[in-house]
Amino acid sequence: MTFRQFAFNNVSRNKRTYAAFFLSSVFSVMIFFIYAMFIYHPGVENGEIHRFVAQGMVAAEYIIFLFAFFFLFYCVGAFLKRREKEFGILMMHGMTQGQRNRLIFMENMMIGSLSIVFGIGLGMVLGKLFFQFAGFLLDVEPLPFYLPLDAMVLTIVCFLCLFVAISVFTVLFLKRSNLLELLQGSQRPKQEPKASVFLSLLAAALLVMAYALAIWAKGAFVMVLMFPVIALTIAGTYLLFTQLSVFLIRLMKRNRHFYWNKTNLVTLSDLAYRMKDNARMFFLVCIVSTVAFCAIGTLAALASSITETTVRTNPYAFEYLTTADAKQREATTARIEKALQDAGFPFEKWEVTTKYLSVNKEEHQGVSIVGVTEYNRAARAADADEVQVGDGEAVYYQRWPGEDVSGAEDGSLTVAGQQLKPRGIEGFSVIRSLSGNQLVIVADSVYAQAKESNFEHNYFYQVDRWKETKELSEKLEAEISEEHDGAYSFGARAPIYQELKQMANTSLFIGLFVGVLFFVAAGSFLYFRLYTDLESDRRQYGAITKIGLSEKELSRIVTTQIGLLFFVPIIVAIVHSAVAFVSLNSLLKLMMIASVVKPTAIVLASFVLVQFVYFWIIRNRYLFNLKRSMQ
Amino acid sequence: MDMLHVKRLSKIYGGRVTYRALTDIDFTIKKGEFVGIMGPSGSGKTTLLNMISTIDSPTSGEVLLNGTNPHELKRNQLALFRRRELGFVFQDFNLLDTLTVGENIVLPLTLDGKSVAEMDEKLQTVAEKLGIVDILEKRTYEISGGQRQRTAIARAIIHTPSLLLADEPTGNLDSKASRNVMETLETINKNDGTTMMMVTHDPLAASYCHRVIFIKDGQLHNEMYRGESRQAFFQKIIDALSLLGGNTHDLSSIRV
Repeated sequence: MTFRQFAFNNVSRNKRTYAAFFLSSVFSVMIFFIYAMFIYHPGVENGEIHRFVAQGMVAAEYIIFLFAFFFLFYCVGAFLKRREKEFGILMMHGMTQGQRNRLIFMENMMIGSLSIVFGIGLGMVLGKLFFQFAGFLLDVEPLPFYLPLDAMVLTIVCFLCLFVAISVFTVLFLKRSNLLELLQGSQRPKQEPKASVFLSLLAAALLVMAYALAIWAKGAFVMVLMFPVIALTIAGTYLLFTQLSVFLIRLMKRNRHFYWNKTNLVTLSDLAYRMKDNARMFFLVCIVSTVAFCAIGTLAALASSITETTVRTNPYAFEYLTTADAKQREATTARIEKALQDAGFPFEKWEVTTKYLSVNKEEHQGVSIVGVTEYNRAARAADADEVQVGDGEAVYYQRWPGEDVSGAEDGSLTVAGQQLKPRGIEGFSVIRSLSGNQLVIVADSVYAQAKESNFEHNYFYQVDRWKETKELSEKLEAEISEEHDGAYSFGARAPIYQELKQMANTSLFIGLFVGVLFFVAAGSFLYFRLYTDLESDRRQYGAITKIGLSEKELSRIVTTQIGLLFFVPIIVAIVHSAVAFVSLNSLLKLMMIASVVKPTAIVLASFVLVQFVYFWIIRNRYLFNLKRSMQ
Repeated sequence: MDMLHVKRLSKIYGGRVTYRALTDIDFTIKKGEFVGIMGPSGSGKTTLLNMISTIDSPTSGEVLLNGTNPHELKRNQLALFRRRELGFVFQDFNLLDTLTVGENIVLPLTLDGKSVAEMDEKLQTVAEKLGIVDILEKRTYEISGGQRQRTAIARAIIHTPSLLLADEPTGNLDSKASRNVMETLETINKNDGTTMMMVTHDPLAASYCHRVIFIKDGQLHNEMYRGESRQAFFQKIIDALSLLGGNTHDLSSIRV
């Protein structure tokens, strides 16, 4: 047996121990490879898919790589800790530092290379499925399968570098613990962590403050408060797990009726004992999950309300505004109508006239005014709110979320010698001004008195099947721009909708996969945690069983402990993201996104469900291992 | 010729309450000698062994093995020293589960980068000596406790170390396996002239030694040499132990 064979045997005969690390690596490689396959796809490179999608994928690729690095680094660390005793024995037999480092390096590279091969293989198999799914979500033809040589090279090079870097870092960060400690391995007694009352209270205070700020913040304020709130939450969460939880356990232990009740004695003392190790992991899992929840929830909300958003920002399927003469107008409207008729789209048409008033001499400083009856007709056509306007009033709509329109446009507007009192309305006007800066709604009598002759003619078309009019509208747009004289604006809803939809779905698509990666990573953190403790648990439960612990009681203790491990960070993460959504909701409302509640609830519910399945599988496996080794 | 020389060795454990585990221990072991260390629980036997085996370092005093003080070596030299000069046998065997019996045995040679041919040859010799040729391909969890300890002994002697250190080698074995292991150690000592030092609770195991050193409360108490009869030596050890005032459970491992 040479040294290399020794390293090889170590890995190949110890598959179960290495399995978790191996699978985590394979999974990371696979996700990375699939994304790379997508980025390098000829269809994407030739622009069949929107540029934005490809750029988003590249960004996601960076995130995945960075995350894979930290994740696998953690895995290696957890894994080596389990093997302390083994290293102790080897050092006893005269293994030098250099040899140990070489052993770790060779093992890592062996697992790394193998996981690259498996990751790419699995990626190839699942790639087709991925393309189908991508096509479905992005609403394009599914991309054909191809031999992704570029992607392979990229994946191999990146992950080889990654595994080398991880090996080097692992060795550098390896503690120079003495032999006695290594040989004792996990038998070494740990100290029970202490909690300071001050820091525990601080944890609660920080979280309450962060929550209060998040809930209190409204509208654009959310953006301002976002970073302080995030900082407070992160600090609070860290203290929550490292201090407050220990403190709470201590309080529980003080209550003897509870503490000395059946298996609570074992569960609680164990929990307190391990809290120090668990705290940091709880914190990590909690933050990672919160980020994943928030990102996916927001993206899901974005994607699910695309139709609604486009309809509200573009009230008509087609709109044509112009200041041109009657001949030109007739020609253009006829063209639009003919195109719609030819393509078999039934439509309804509205015509609204507005007047342009130049308030200042400067261009685009003026406003367009419209009579309230005319406006309400258009609003009815767009299913929007109608307005009431008093005789001396001028009604302004917001042009962007949060705009203060109470004193819009220099505070006053004079039409035909009459001073109008401005009034602002939240929301959006269904009519735009072509030449002016703002559209103002005035009473019909005021409109009639306005002498300006700069008429703007608005033509609106509503089509029921507007989603299908994308090609038609693009063709129309080109034709009109070719033959039109004078100022005009032609808008169609379908192309905007398509673009928005693709963007939102891409984000969701990317977010979902990154989120799933985070989620799996969080699960793996827990898995590693459990298996580092298996050895000492085995001893401990073995000892307790001898005193007389039934299998049922053992199951109960283990279930409680693993349950806490799985659900405490997730529950805290859910509370965090629920609060985050409350404030995001008011921000998203401004972006015309109706509601985040439903999509978010679906996302969170499915995460909890998957987590529960994960929990159940791991609990059963763990119990099985524990019982088997205790016989 | 002195193989091991322990000079005024002391160990104090720090911490909130300092604890003096060993005080001024002085003794020598000659080449080819088989020495047992005995004493009641907490007397410092294992601490002494850990100092000599370089697992732990002394607070004061020195350990000289063939004139070298391993505690003054650099990390890498120390590794080489352990690899070439020392062999270890533990109470709980400390075999690696991932390796077969044969692979476990050649481990010190593998670490030393020896050629496969040489390793094979030595493995055969040592396995025959210990009667474990049949189980070389087996994994550590497939063999009995006695076989495991013989595997550990094979691993400890395959590189012909200057000193073989054993910590309660019979502690986890039944009486038959204990006797078997002790006879093996005795044979190796007699035939190969391997110097051995063994820490034990077990008077029976100790009776195989040439000399037994007794420690009490971290200090040397006395020593006894074996005469012709092992049986008589065994009796003397039991008498000495009861004189030492060890607790009764220290004697409970009498198996004769």
